[in-house]
Amino acid sequence: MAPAPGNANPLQGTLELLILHSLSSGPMHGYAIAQHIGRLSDEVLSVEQGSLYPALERLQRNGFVTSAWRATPTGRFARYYTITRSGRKQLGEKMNQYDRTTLAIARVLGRD
Amino acid sequence: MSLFDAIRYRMRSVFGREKLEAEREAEFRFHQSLEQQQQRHVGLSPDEARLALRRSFGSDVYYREEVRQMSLASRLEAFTRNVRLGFRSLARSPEFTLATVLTLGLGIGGLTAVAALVKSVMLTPLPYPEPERLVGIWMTLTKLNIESGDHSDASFFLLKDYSKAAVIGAYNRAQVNLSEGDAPERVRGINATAGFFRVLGVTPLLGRVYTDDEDRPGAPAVVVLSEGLWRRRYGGDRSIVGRVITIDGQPTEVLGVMPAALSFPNPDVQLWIPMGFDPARVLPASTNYSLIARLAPGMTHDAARADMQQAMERLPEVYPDAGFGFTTKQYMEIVGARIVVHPLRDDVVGDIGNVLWVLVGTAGFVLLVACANVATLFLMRAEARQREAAVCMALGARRGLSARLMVEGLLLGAGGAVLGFGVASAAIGALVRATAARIPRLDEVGLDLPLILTIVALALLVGLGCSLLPVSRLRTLQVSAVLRAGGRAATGSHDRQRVRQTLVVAQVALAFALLAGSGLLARTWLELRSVQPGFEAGPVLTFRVALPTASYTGVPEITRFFENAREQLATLPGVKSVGVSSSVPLSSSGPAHNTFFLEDKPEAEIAKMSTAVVFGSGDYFRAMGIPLLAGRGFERPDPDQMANEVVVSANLATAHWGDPNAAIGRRLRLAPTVPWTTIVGVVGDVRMQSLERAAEMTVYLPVNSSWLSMGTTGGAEARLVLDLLPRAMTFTLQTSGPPAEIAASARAMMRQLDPALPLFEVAAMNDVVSASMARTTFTAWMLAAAAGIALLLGVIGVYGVIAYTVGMRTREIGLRLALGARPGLVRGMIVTQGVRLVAAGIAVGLILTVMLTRSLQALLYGVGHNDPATLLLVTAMLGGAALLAAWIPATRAGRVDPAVTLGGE
Repeated sequence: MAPAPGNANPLQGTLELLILHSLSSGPMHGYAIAQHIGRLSDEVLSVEQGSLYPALERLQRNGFVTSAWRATPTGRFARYYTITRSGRKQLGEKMNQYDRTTLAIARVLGRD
Repeated sequence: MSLFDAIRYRMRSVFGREKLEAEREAEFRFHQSLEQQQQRHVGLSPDEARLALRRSFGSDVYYREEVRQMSLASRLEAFTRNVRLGFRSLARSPEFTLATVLTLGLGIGGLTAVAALVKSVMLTPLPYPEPERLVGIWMTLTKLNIESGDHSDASFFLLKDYSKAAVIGAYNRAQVNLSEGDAPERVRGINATAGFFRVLGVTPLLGRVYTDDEDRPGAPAVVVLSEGLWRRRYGGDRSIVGRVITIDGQPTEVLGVMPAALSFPNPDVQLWIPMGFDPARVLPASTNYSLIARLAPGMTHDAARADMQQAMERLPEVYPDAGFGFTTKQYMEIVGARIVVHPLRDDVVGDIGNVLWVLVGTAGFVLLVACANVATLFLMRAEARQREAAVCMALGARRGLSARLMVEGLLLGAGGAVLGFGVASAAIGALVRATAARIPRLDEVGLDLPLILTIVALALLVGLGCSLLPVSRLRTLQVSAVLRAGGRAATGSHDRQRVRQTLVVAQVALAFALLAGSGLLARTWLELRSVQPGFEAGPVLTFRVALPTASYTGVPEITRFFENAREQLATLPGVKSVGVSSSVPLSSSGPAHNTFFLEDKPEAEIAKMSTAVVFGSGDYFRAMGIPLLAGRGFERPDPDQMANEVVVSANLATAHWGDPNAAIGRRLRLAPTVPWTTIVGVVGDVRMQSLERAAEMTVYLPVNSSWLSMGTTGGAEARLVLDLLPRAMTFTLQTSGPPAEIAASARAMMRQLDPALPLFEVAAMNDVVSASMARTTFTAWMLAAAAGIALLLGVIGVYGVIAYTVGMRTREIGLRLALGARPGLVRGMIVTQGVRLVAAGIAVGLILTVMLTRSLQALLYGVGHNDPATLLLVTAMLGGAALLAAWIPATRAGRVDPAVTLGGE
């Protein structure tokens, strides 16, 4: 998976992980994903449009996520994102990686 | 599945771009509206709402750009946009574009043409199956200092029977008369053994080649034609196989036609005749043949050579008698024969290699000069557009600017490639037509795909490379300084100037080297022209005839014919004297060579002496203006008697008897078994082979010389006599007017004497001499052209740099003038700068020249490769031209009006 050019956001990989995880419970449109993450993290993590949509583009380009325009429960039209099978695989790997990393950091900091 | 999705997504971004953009817009607006809803719901104050809105707006722009950057389509779109912009900006500065494309095109085209030549002539293998197995077998005569001597038929038989290394073929050149029908024609061909075709392995176009059985003495006459001859003379008639044509008066059956691909050793060859070696009459001392071979698979050259050398050691036991009174053992000791095996390509290419590599070097230099020029042009253009560049950088679009510059470089490179292709094609066309230079394998030269790709790649690379110079300058561009100065750069651009100065110095140096090389070649040409060849090339018409064996069987018939013809031709109006000779100096038919013996000199020294043998008659010496130094010329030959007199050249006489007069009355003979002949005259030395080679010792025999009786030994030598008879002779007519005017009447006269006899090699003696210098003339012209281009480019380069400096220093100059400096002083200042540049260039050029002209040595005559006079002349020329180029802007500097320059901002 190639990193997007010019984006120096260190949390980039993490954002994609969060998006994939959000989508693993079902298809959502962009706003819903942002709300979902914000809500579950108690607004500690607030996702800007400027980072959300590029991340979604990247996920689509790599085939981890597909999108389709659908009607919302309120009758409007929005683009819904769905996680693909390889997206789920990627999610699993990324989560393992995340776990290992946090454990390592905790050890270094003497927090285990 | 993910790969499929990924691909599908990317395809969409290329082909459904607008739809995608619209969708993104819609999605974005959807997100916005939900956000606003949320904010209203949460109860933000209007200010906070506006702030939130503006924040998301900011990220909006960023997002759009981000997304757009990522898609493939945007990259393609960016490239096409740059290309369009590049075209427009190049069109806006037509002189720059034109100058760059022209320079690149010339440089690249020239190099490609020469490279095509080198590739086809020297690098491409011969067009026969498995060409790496083909070799030429050379006989090096170590004791006579001859690198590539001819073989005898003994070598052929010996190698064929005792060497396991290869399939052998022998050949020698022949010229025959084709005389059926009413258009007699003299045609070049080859006598070849049947194995010759097996060695080369080419399948006939029609019919077949002759077998070993048909290649015997006494077998019925057969011939194989070339495709060219078949189409030209026989109209491509497919029923030619089996037809009987007349060759040298003899009815000969056509066995087959060979395709044009078989053009060994050169495309002149029009037919193949069986060699007809007689194994019962083998003469090791009579050498006249070339051997080629196809090595057994896997056999190396060294192994083959060793094997063949071993076979040759058996020569004395298999053929003990060498002929002419020598035993084979004696003969082998005299000559010190060694077998050498060369790739067959060397036989075809000959010594053109030197010239070609020099041409490659020259073209390479010209290209370097051209590149330096183009780089300078780019830099100059970048200076002019500094302001625009500064603005772009200030806006943060440096990457885009670099991309645009590089695309411009690529576009110019592409233009250069197109022009280069045209130039290369034209150059190759011209080279192929310049047959006078006698470049072999010219029919194979052409622009093939690898070369075209090389042109394109080279051009693009150069264009890109040159554009990188201004791009790298961008990094050091002081944006604020440029913007403030309103477009005129601060003088703090020292290292930019330095780059340009380095480029100019390089150009001057390269131009110097090329001019020096050209000068050396020009002097060689002049030296050759002033060589005294030993004869007066006044108005003399020459043409050659060859008498077929069938109608002119022996010496009496031949002598009678030539005497008759000579007398008749002498009666033509406009003809002052007529002579006949078996070989005319500097022509393509060189003299035969033979050992000789002197009655009053001991035999032991004989081994080293070899002389040219020329048959002459009538007023040959007078017609050619060869001075008679002692004694007399030939008397009228009596056809029914054998003459016992000879005339020798001055160097032979003085070498053995000191004074030409002392040679008169001495006796000499050409073989131990023939009668002695008396020296009746001594003539001046003549350079027979080439203008560069010193005149060799020559013996002139009358047409009915007793040498041709070969004493009383019969057998093999008797057969040899038939070969030696002077059937092919050149008439030399001294004319009072231009030689060409006599040609028609001479032809008519000869046709009266014998209608079936074709005339060939009809030429004025002046043209023959010029043709012998053709290769030097050709090389000299090429170098001169290259040097001229380099000189022009170098001078333009100097002019450009100095003019630019003046432009940049206008304010400083105005200041100096206002402070009271005289215009002359200012001019001097500028010119001094020019002088320094040119001097540096000449110094580097001198070093370069001294290193490189060594490789020219093989082409030079009468001038050393470090000839001081030439170097001095070139220095003066280049220095003068460059200084003139510096003078013009310097004059302008002197005329600067301080009021104007200082009064402006």
